[in-house]
Amino acid sequence: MWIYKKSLMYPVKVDSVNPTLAKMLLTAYGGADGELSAALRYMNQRYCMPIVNIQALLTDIATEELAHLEMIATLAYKLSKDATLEQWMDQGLTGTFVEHGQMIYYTDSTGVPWNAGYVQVKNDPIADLTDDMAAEQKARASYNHLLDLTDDPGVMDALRFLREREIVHFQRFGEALVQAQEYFACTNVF
Amino acid sequence: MSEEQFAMLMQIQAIGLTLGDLALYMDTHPFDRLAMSHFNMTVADYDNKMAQYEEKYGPLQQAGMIPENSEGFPWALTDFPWDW
Repeated sequence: MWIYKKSLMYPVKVDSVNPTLAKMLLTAYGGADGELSAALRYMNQRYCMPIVNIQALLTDIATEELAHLEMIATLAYKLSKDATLEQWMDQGLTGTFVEHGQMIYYTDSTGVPWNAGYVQVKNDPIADLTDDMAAEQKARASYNHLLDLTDDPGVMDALRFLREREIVHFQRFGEALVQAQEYFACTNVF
Repeated sequence: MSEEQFAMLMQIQAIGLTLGDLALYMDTHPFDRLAMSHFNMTVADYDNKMAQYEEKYGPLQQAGMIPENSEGFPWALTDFPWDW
């Protein structure tokens, strides 16, 4: 089960009205390497992990990714909620506005809707953990791309925090992979 | 939200992050005694600050105690973080 806390994981402040930036941020919301994909992937992988502490790691990181998802949603919401109709039109976002109004939606930054094909689950702990490490690096790279494209100080602060968290997760998954390899080396006799 | 309330919330957020990060570390280092003792000290600090905050401003979690002087159910009446 899960318990909701009425607080963001890290404070989110936005210094501009910018629906284009809000749409770019959606890569981290409903994109292939976004937070939704990450949370669902780790949650789903828990059931095949042979070591309980790796089940704990997947649970805790999946939960944190949901907190990241809420930060991204808050950033995109704050960037677009006060935009005028002229801004949506001038920035070439009429299609986005027609489909969802000012509301965020589970797509990537180009409007492609989220789908379960983004979630890698092989029922093989070594394959899954290796893939999780790549997922964290891809999330870090996406945050790098986003940081290249914005100069809003509030958004940059939140993105830097999220990028740092992906690096921590990568480190922890690396440790878990070594533990899983040691586990299989002990229990298998070839 | 007043400056004082926001400052308290930021403290709770920061301590919560310390706890979460320590927990991830202990997930892959579950026998690190120093980390466990650091975690326990941080939990005590966290519980203390949460109690102080909730007594003053209402619950951050659904299961939090409703302050005695509260007219309504604060969980349903206080802003969500995207509107802070």
